[in-house]
Amino acid sequence: MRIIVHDLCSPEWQAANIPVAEQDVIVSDDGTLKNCIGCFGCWVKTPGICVIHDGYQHMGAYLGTADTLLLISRNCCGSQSPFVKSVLDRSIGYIHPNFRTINGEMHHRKRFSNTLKLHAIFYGDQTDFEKNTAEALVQAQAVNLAAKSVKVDFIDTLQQLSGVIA
Amino acid sequence: MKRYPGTIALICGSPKQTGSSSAAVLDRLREKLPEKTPITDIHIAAKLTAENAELLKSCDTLLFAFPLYVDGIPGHLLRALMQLEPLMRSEQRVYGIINCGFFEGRQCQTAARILENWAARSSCNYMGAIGLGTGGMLTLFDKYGEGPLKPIETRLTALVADIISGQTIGFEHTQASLPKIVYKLAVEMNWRRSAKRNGLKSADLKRKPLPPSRQ
Repeated sequence: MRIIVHDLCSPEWQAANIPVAEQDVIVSDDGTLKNCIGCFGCWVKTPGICVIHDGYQHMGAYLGTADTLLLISRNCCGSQSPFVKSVLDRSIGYIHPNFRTINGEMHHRKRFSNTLKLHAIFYGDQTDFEKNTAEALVQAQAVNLAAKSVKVDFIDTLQQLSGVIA
Repeated sequence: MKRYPGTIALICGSPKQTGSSSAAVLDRLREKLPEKTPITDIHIAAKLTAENAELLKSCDTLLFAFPLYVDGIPGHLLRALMQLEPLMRSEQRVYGIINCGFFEGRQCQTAARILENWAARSSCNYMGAIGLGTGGMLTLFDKYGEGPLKPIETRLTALVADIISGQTIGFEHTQASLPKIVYKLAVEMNWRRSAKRNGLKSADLKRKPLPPSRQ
């Protein structure tokens, strides 16, 4: 099952014609997303579930049942866009607050037993430096999400989207 | 001859209203600035207000202090930066102080690069950033400023000198001076204490909740 987080408006999403399976979960911007408030309630109050009940509070739990996390985002200065990034910020219930060491660096432990395939697709006007930054960002996110594989694609137009999604 | 730093905006990008590490670092830095430095304090905890956007337009030096979220800039601050992008002026200088809860300050480097890219798009001058690890300790300057937090105190003092002289700094990083294992155990003990205050047991921290469709 895939979790697909994207920042496309409805006509763009329809036009992209991305094949979606019945069990896939599509996370899009319905205008209700609140930003993470840094309270760590998803770790120490209701572990795995965000305390902000705006419809996006179960992101951690959804990721815990998924095999793939697909991010489709405008490249904003080498980052995911504010919406996609805010969804990721609200997803840290997927990981455990305690630490482990990977390649000599401190990272969080896993909460769930699944391991994700992380696929990020960046579209829009993007410089080489922004592409390099986005690549580094997703690689770092893959480590913290304990992903088993990571793939980053850059496309110029949304017409290329279905071509890079397996 | 250009005088640095002009009016300096100390911008706290933490979503926390009070008690954030970003605010603590800015408080410490403020104490190190020369007495008559004109300062504008801005807190972007959620949406950027029109009033704050106007204030930021008028400042000469912008210092963004924010926490590392999922290896990048917090979503709400990123949204604010996108709104600010067309408003910035070519003479404005941008510095960053990024803190993370991990031990190693170097883990903030990608977020610094995103800030650098934003400055490039905004046509203002990116002057560099520092990455601070051991973020869980940064509200404890009064207690540990002369002890484990000394490397961070020293780095902030150097940053003030760089800002005043208009120096670029690239990306520099540091963290508190204590063994990594001690920091790890202290932070994890804090998680257990917080859980206990919320009526949970330590084992509850490992819960694996199901999403609504799978319950």
